[in-house]
Amino acid sequence: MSEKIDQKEELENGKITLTKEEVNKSWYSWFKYCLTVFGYERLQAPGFILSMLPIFKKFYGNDPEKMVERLKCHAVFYNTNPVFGAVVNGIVASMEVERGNGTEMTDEFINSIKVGLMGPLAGIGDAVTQATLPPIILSIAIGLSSGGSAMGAAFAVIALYAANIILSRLFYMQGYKSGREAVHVLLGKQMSRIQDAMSVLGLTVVGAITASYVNFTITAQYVSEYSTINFQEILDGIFPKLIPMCLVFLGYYLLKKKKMSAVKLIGVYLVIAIVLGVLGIV
Amino acid sequence: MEITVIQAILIGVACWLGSVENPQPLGVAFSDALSKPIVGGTIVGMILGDIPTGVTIGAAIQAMYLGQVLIGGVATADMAFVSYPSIALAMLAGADATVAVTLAATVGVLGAAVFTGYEILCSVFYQLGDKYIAENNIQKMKMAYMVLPPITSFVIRFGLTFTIVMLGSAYAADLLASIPELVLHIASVLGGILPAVGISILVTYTLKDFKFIIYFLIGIVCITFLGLNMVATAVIGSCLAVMYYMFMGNQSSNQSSQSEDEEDELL
Repeated sequence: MSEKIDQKEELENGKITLTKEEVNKSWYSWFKYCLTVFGYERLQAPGFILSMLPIFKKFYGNDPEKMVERLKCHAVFYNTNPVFGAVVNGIVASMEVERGNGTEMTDEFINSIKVGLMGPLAGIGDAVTQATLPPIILSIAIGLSSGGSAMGAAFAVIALYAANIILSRLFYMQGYKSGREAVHVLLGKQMSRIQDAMSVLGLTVVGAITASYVNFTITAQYVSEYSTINFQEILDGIFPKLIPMCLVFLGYYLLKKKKMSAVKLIGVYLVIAIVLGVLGIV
Repeated sequence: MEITVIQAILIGVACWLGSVENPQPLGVAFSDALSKPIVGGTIVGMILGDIPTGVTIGAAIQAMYLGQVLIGGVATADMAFVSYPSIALAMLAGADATVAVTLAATVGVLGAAVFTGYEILCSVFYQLGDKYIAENNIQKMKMAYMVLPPITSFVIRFGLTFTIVMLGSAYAADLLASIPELVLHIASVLGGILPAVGISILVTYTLKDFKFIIYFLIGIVCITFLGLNMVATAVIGSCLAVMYYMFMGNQSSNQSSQSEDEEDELL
């Protein structure tokens, strides 16, 4: 990756480009500060500004007016997936370098690219870095922890950290290298196909989590003179984990169709647990 | 179990380090990893001198929060509060894993409310940042963005965790002993159901077309009927994803191959 940036520096003779350290600083500022000011008002705007700061310092270090103008341009609402979203920082960084070299570019154009990309990248990024990778890594970690071993925690920290930092860096560097070119690729038809493919993987894993970690056992039995009917055994014979699956479908229905909040959903499950628990069914 | 002031301080600091808004030198991914209950349980266990219990409780709580996601700044539970004060409290009270899970769920929801307060409070830092940007005072802008929020977060997280843990060591065990059997039973049933909350959120988030529910079923069948583990199921899921991508690609063959190559690089 670093070779390619060096090449770019050589190719663009006569134009000011960023040094390797500046590119690294821009990426790492995002990686470190993207969630620092975690407020609804503008979410990751400060993280984005801090990530652009090395570039602005280079081009507008002696031009307070321009500096203020550039910082203001980025002090607007911004929110995306911290890891996949790094590609936007890369793209915008390369655009800001172009701009610093005198290319005409309006603030609206830069912001429309940021706004256009942040949604789709949040979608695909959260599907991978929140819905798919952590459940897999953490379920391995739970396995490693059996018997009270600290191995599981060590594995979880190393694997999660490595996956996130490597992906974040790859995305930033790819964005920085391709610049504006990357935008139409990211917003193209191909992207929605990749997004769909990711949800195929995500849903398979989520199904597996349901079967592994949602527990619901009917303890009630029908006892008569001739036989004892154990309802849970019958259910297990037909479709094990049928009730956990239905509980998830119920949750999906309430969240999606009834627009219920997650906290209320916890309340619904609490009522189910209390009613069935008091009746002695579970 | 008794707790010393130093242990309570360490747990408080750990809770702060494990919050996603903490800009420690290793970056947000490290804080995120620290916020996982299995990691928190191990660290709290180390601090309290009983790693096996901490790990066992952490693993049980982790199972509930496997599907926990933070989307658009909205979370159903605050993972740092789940992973540190609640696990410490459970250990101090000598609770078993199922009761610890319910305790964690309660602390998690309360923690989410506290965190929502922090998120609203953060408006102050945006305004301060605006002010210093207008003055072209980069140093002060950095302070508003990089220094003040972590200090605020420290006051909230350390303060609450320290207080909860210190009070907990005195009262938690008695409180737990006074809870009736039926309530504990319901708590453990609820502990079994609660993972469905996070999972439902994940399904809502990844399921754009209802037909895709077949992949969810495949995931369930892999575990229940085929008896595969999580890694094997993930491999099958990856294969299905690649097959889906290739199959859909044939349907729209007029895409330029060049843009495909670029995307492959991106992924």
